[in-house]
Amino acid sequence: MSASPRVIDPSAVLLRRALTEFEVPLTRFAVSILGDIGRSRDAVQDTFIKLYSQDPKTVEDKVKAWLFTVCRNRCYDILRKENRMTRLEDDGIHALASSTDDPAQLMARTEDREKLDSDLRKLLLMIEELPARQREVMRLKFQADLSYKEIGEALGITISNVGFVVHSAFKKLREAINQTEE
Amino acid sequence: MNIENDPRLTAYILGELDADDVSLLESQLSGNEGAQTAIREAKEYASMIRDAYKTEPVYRMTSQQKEDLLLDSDIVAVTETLPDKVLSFSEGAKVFGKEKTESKKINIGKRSFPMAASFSAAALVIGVAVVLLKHDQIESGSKSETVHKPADPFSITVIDSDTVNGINSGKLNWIRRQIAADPVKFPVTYRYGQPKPLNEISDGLVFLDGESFRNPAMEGQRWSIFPSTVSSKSRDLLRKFMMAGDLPAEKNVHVGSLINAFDYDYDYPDSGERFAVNAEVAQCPWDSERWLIHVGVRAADVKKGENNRQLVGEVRMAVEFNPERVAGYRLIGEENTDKFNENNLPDQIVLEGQTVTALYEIVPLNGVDFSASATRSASSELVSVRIDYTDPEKKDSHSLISSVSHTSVGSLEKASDDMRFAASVAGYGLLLEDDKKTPFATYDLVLELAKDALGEDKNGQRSEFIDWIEKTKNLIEKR
Repeated sequence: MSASPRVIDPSAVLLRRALTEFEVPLTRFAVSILGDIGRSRDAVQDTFIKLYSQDPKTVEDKVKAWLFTVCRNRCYDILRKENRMTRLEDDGIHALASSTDDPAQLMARTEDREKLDSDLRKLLLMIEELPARQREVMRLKFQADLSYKEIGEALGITISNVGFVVHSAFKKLREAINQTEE
Repeated sequence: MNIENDPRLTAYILGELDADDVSLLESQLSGNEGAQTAIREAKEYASMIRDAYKTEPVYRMTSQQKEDLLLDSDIVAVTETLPDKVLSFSEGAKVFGKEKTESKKINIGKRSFPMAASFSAAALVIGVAVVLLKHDQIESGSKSETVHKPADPFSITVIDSDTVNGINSGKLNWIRRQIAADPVKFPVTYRYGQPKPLNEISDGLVFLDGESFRNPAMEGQRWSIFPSTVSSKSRDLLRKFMMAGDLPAEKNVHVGSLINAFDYDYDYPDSGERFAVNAEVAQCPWDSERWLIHVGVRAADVKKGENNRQLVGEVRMAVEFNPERVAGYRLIGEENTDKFNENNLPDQIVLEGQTVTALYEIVPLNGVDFSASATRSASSELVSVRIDYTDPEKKDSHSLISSVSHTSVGSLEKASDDMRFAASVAGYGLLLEDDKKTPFATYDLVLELAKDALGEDKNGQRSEFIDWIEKTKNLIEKR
């Protein structure tokens, strides 16, 4: 027994605290990629299992970015395995088309999609109409509250690229909101 | 330069620029009113987008999945000294104790942890038992106390006679905090009628000069929970800076904690009661359109006679604002603490005789005169303070409601020393954070407030604080 024993097994403590803080944002993020709650839950559980197997020293100072990176990869693995890249690919095509759309068209399509009385729900739909990359970055920034740096790590892009994507999406949404207010 | 098309502006609004870029951008934008308006608007949009995401359902794993993750692991942790914290994601810290963990760590945990070896992705089962041992008690290990979360296998076993006998209640509190034991689940009820559903963009917040106030008429904003765990840390930190003749950076200032780090002279509760609420309302010293509500809570001191208890098991302290009187409010010094959820609040520990202070800045509803008398009914109240707690032994829940009406309203000159002192600390903290945010608060003003609020100053804290204001003022003038 050494002279000054201390708290041991940080792995379990790390898992515990990560669950408390990130279970909900991670599951929401997974749902946004996979589109259904069942598979999203599995992806999130897999992510936490993987976290537990990590050496806490290597992840503890970047847990958030680590979790979102792993969860995202897991989601795309699931999509690939099930040969169901539909949502992603559809969006990819859609993104190309809509990235040049003007805000009025964007809004009109949103309104067609579903009759929703809440402006915030409408705004959420506008966000969901953004190109895939913008949508993902916006969610990580505004819902999961990741920093540009963390988003860059999760998506494998540079910080200034993240800044540019956020800026473009943000600008587009502002225009769309203004359009609806007028 | 068309600044609105500059990604730097978005990064600035989202707090993503480093300090150098911030000062550069701010110097470029100073005097540019168009850009200032654009920034204010963009901040509103940003908060709308955040709110939009909040309308999504709260997705989680199933309870079975979570249980599989948490069940049945057995981790033994041994500690002699009390670590400050195990981990803090937000600060990116790697703290497992006051010193680096690597130093003298012994690996009992992993070795005596069979699940680690039989780890399987299909069914990972973890639960945690942290054993706190005093070095010489490892052999005997006779006394034990288990702290556990209800309906959750995460538990801690304490083998430490001092802790078990209540001599070292700090250690027990620390453990509770680490595992978020005793989450608070109290019902949400409304004293001033149901709030409106939050379905209009920007209805939830009232914007004033770029600052956001919560609107009590709207769902999810009626109540404000204020933290009841207090410590002297932020004051100790400030003292270090002052002794070094230096000013703390914004990130080192947490105004809410600083207000609570001082002693206040609140009345003790009557015998048999657990808490006493002292509330006062006065005009805000740095904005004549606004008011301050000072809520001072004193916990009973039951230590005398009885043998060392924790005072309450679970506690939630909250203020409900009357939407017929209050248009908007904010909890000073806790603007960024958005983590408190109405239904679930871990980490709240209250010690015997402790005081808790919350200071709100409020904007009256148009045409409402706070100090005018009104017939006494729930609708004439400005706010009410509610404390929910459970008795740690009997396990039953209690609610204490204390209403604040026009009779508590007065001028700041006539307010108690405690209120004026808290207002001074608040103003000082806000100035340290950002001296442009509250244009009418000045170091002279807070100095005057503090000097008038000395009271008995039994332990010299308030005089020391007055010295700090003067020092700070000098340091800033020298810059």
